[in-house]
Amino acid sequence: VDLDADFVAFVRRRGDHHLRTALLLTGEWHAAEDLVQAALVKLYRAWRRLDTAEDPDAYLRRILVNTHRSWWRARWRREVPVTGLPERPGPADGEDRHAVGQIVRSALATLPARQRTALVLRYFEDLPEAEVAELMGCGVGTVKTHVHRGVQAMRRLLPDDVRADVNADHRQGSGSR
Amino acid sequence: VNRPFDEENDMTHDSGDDLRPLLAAAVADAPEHTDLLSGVRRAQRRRRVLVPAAASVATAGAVAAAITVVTVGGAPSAQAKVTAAAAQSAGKSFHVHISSPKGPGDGAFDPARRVGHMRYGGGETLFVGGTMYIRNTGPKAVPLPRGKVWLSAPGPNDADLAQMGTAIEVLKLGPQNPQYVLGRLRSATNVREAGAASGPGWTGHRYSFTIADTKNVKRPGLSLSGTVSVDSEGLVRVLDLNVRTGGPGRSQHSVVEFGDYGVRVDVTAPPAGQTISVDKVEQPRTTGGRPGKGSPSPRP
Repeated sequence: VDLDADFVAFVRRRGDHHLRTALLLTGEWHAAEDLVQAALVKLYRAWRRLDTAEDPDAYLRRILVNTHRSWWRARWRREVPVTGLPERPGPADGEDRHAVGQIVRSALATLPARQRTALVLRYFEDLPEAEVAELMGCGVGTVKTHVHRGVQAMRRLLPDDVRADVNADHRQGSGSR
Repeated sequence: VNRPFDEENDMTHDSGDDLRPLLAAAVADAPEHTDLLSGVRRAQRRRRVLVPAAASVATAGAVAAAITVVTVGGAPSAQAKVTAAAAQSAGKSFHVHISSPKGPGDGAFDPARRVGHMRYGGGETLFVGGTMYIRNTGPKAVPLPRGKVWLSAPGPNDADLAQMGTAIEVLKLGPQNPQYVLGRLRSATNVREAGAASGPGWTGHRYSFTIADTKNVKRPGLSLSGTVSVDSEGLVRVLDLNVRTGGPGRSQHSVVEFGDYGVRVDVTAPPAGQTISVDKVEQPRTTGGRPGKGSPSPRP
């Protein structure tokens, strides 16, 4: 099947970023991939009608958020809830990056969906509160509340050493640039 | 809302910037070489196939007659017989009984009037037009406003189906809507005669088949095989299905029995006062895990 070349170029350029956003929304790589693919199917149907001046990133982000919100209605998609955070493996594990990612995702997954969505849009997508509110179909005050409670919950849920390590790595990375 | 006294103040002064590196770390283990365009390609291919498929359901009898023209040595091939039986059966109303690891299920469908009902695994689903009504009971129940007991949702759309493979489609949708199983049967390959078959009030032949799950390139371990029994009138009577879900020894066996073809099936939508659209209900919490392997706990 030959797809529109501009569309293919857009997905190759920006697909991975949206896959990461989807991962934070869904908590699992396979589910994230499914979500992005479903969103891309919808985007492609509208692709030729899109105003070329319109930002396809914003359009795809909106589809992602809406699709994710409505996805649970397909009951067969439901997943096994995890009751607690996975234990953090020791340094000998050798897959520290994966382990930390899993711990943060598991913590994120325990948040109520709207809180999680607000947090991801605000601090991963780096959108202003007004834009998050518009995407989520609620008021700015509600977004502030979701974000605040989400931040508090994440600080409470994540082990101190994980937070300290990640933030130290981040500062080191920023300083070395 | 009862907020702590200083929450308003906290919200203003807490930047939450420490969350940014944590969220970045949460996506740092991204798999390489993810083909995000495969779903769009599948959907495009499916759109091209769906139109003639829909037309064939509307004229199931004519299609069945046409398909029998596909012959091997003057007689219809096993594949043509199964394909014709699936097309003919999918156009008639029927009762259905399912036996699967999740327990028995019973229901009835009338494809022409687009109605159906199914009780399976402690759940109940009604199909009216293009809408599913799911009774909100059991471990999968979600908190609903007082008086609401049914969730209404559109049936799966092209985008949903495009990313499931055939095996997943049958595994997940089959117990809810056996018409899907009949539909998928029409893409059966490697169909062979497997002897005589009979049941209460009918005799016929059994055929073995496989359905290649070529759509699901992401999970190549999935496959669907089994036998289908077709009665002397060319209607599907029993489907014995094995869905291999990947890995050695991982398979799911289900038996779907069809009967009472032509039965009247009356289904009406639940009262509007007892129904709420899933779009108005917040998504339940989920975490990592494989789809279809369980259900979330109801939210407190």
